[in-house]
Amino acid sequence: MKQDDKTYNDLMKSLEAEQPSMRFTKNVMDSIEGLEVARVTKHYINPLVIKTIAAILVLCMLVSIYIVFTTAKPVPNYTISLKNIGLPKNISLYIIAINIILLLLLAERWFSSRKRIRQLNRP
Amino acid sequence: MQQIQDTDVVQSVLQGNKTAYAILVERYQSFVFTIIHRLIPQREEAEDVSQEVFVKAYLSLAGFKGNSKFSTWLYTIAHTTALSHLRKTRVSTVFAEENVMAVYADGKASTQHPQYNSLRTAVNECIKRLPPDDAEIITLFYLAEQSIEETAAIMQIETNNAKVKLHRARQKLKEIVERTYGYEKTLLYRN
Repeated sequence: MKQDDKTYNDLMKSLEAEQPSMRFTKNVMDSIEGLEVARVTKHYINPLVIKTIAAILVLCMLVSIYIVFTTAKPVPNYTISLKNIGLPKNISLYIIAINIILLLLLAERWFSSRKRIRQLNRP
Repeated sequence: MQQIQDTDVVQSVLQGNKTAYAILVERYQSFVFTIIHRLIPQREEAEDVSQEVFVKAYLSLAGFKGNSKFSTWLYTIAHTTALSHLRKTRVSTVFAEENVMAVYADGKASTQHPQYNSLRTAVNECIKRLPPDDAEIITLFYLAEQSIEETAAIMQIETNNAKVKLHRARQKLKEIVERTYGYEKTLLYRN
């Protein structure tokens, strides 16, 4: 079997490129005769501008977090409850419905990917 | 004699020495033509597209940054140009694949009783009977000597996907060789 693989690899190494017509190089050189190498287009937005905007955003976030943590005062006797948030009634039903839809979408993607794989594997 | 590096030739062309581009054309024309011919079976059409590839490469030569080998960059242009040509001419690779697979399944192709002069011709004939994608990946990996990562980059697929495709292509080719030559394959291997 290994010998078979080796001979197969030798076989692959013996591959030979096909040759275009004799005039190929001349044809290409004729085609580029009147052409010039296109200049590389500059970036539409200077990378420095992008970096500056990113830096400002990060700075804003850090300042906001700092302000929140330094100025916030704890509310006495506050308990976290769904009633305090004021969610609509039957929220759990909505959540279950969304989950079912997501599960169906997931199942559909899984089945279609399996179908594609089966088609690819078909001899 | 040491061969001039591709990057040096590129620099020379970029500095205005247009004639130096002929070195790159001479060096890669057969590989580019073979890759394209694997996807476009008609010889004249494949040659036209190959010329288009070299013109495109010339025009965008300034975009070659040397992050990859020049050959990898060029073969990527060849791959995308061939695919867009197929799309334009509405000859989808799927149809081509079906045609080739029909011949492959039939097992009565012209190579059934071959009288080849050389082993190389025989292998090339078998590769032509592969689906275009498979023929291309084998050509890139074995003939154009691209690594699996480079092959994946050229074909714009994941490296793992390229590994799987290459393995399957090799299997298919092996089957074609065995199917076509039968007991003669041992003789073929020995040649």
